[in-house]
Amino acid sequence: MKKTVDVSLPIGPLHPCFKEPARIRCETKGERVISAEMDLGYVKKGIERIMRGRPWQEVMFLAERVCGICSVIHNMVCIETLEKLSGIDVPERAAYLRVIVNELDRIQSHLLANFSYCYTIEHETLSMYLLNLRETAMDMLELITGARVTCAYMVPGGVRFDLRDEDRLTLEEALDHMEKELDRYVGMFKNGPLIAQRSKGVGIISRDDVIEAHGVGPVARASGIPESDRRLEHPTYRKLGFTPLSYEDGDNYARIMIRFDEVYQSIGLIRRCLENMVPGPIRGGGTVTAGEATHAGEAPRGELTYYVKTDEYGRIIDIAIRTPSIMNIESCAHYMLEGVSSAADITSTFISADPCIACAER
Amino acid sequence: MVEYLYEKDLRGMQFNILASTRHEWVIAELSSRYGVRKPEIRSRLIERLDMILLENLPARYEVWLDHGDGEDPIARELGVELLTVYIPLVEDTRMQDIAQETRVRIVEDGAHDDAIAEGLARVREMIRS
Amino acid sequence: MSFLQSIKNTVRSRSIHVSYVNVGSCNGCDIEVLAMLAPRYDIEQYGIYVHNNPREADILLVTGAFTPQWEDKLKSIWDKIPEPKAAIAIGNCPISGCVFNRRGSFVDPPVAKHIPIAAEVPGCPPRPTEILNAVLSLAPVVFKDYEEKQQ
Repeated sequence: MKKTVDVSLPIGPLHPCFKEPARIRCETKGERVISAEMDLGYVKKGIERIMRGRPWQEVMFLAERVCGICSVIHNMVCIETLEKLSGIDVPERAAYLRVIVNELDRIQSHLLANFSYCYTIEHETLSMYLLNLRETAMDMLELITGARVTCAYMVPGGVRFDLRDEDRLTLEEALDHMEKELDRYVGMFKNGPLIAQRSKGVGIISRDDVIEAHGVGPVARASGIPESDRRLEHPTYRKLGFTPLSYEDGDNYARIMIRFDEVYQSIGLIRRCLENMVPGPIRGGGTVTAGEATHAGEAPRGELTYYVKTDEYGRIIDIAIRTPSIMNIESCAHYMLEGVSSAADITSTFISADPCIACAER
Repeated sequence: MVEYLYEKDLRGMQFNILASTRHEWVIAELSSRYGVRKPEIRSRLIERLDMILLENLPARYEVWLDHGDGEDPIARELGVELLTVYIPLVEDTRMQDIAQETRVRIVEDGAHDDAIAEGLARVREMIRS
Repeated sequence: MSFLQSIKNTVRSRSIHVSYVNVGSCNGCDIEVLAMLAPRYDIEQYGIYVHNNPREADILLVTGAFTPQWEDKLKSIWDKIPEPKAAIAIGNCPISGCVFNRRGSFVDPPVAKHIPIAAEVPGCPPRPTEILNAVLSLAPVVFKDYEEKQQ
């Protein structure tokens, strides 16, 4: 048989562009990638195994330590699953506060993802601007929840802290600031000629391939599948009149632009929450009982599904977490990287899918 | 002497991936569909797929349940796309041959159940080989 | 102190190269290390550069409880760093395993079993300023008069 593969190019596990350890093995012909495989296991901690047999009060904290970047949504989906299986209602104000915190988390996660991409294509100025803007979102998270990363803000039946009136003014100011600054940065990204050359038409994934690999979140929405957004099924988001965005191209540029657009959208959602919020209780209370439920929510990276089974004392008997990064990294490794024309584009395409290895391996 | 640092035996870690609740469910479904024992399915999966595809098995299986094999009931019963596209365990051409021969037999003999059973037996041999 | 040593001290105090390695953390500590790059904390004003290349690093930041994949690899990364060098454990995980150190998990903390750790920054995750403070206070202890201490 004729040998078509020239070089087997391993990237990782420790690579200057990767925030986390992962190893991509690319079969290349010249510099063109023919196929890619991934080796994992660098951050496999076995969280689901630890969670089994523990009371929900412990599982709640383990759940948000599945991923340090999108810890709020892990907390939110875990708690909402527990509420669903034991029929606990949430007060209206608490529901809005949850959306506010979740959207702030989405803003910081998307900005971090775009920072990583700009850093990988070596536009360091823009990446530093974005990282600095992310600090504003982190400040607001800290202001509302009391911690920067692992905040455990939501509990069954409500949230832990109320938003004070003076904090609300600070939050509104911060949103105005973020929107104004972001206009500049998005302009820089759109009008930079070299950025367009590095991003447009690179790492294309078609709509059918996304469906095949079950790609979710920004990866799916950049390839023209807006209906994959799980926020459409969330009652509070419905009340806010949420409509998902989408791009058609499915290349790196579309994936970065959809994240920028979603940051604007999140700012709008937080503003609408602040308008609709009326003073009221933030904690309704309730007991976690025996039951079994599957619930999905929209993480910054896409659909996050929890399957939880509890006994009558609220202990977790069985749990399965399906994180969005699993699907997105798979569609990146097996579809986007195929046919990428240079070694530099391998890393930038991989980063554009916003891989979170800690999520994927748990 | 060159040290092959990265080419480490990863089978233990691949097995850990397959140990979660959702993966157990997929393996049980595959096992009952094709009549192959679970440990055998696991070892074939570990041999033939890379680690991120192993992680993604439940999602891909669910997509196949919803969209896979289109309108063709015979292909769906044999799981043609399931084993070639969604969970690529067997060769595409041989799987298509089996599906084609099964279709021909159903048209010629009219024995639908027998033909499907024979097709599944041939797929089982392919998974095992 | 010799003249050569004093020159070395001056140069080293303003050029500390940092590499970070994630040996099984949840990402929380990694993004706090990354946040140090942001203009708000501006790690480069102290002469600290994040390179993520062990061969040109002076300080290795280790995050995460220890997973089995790293058993052979962390030691080899540590050996690649040129002398003088130091490792800092960031977060609770490399120190004790934090919430992951339970029966049934795959992790094997502490990291100090595998490479020598010079300083520890507890927290889940620690704030960027705390990490920065740890790097800045460790650097003179390790690098000042290194050659004279060796003799």
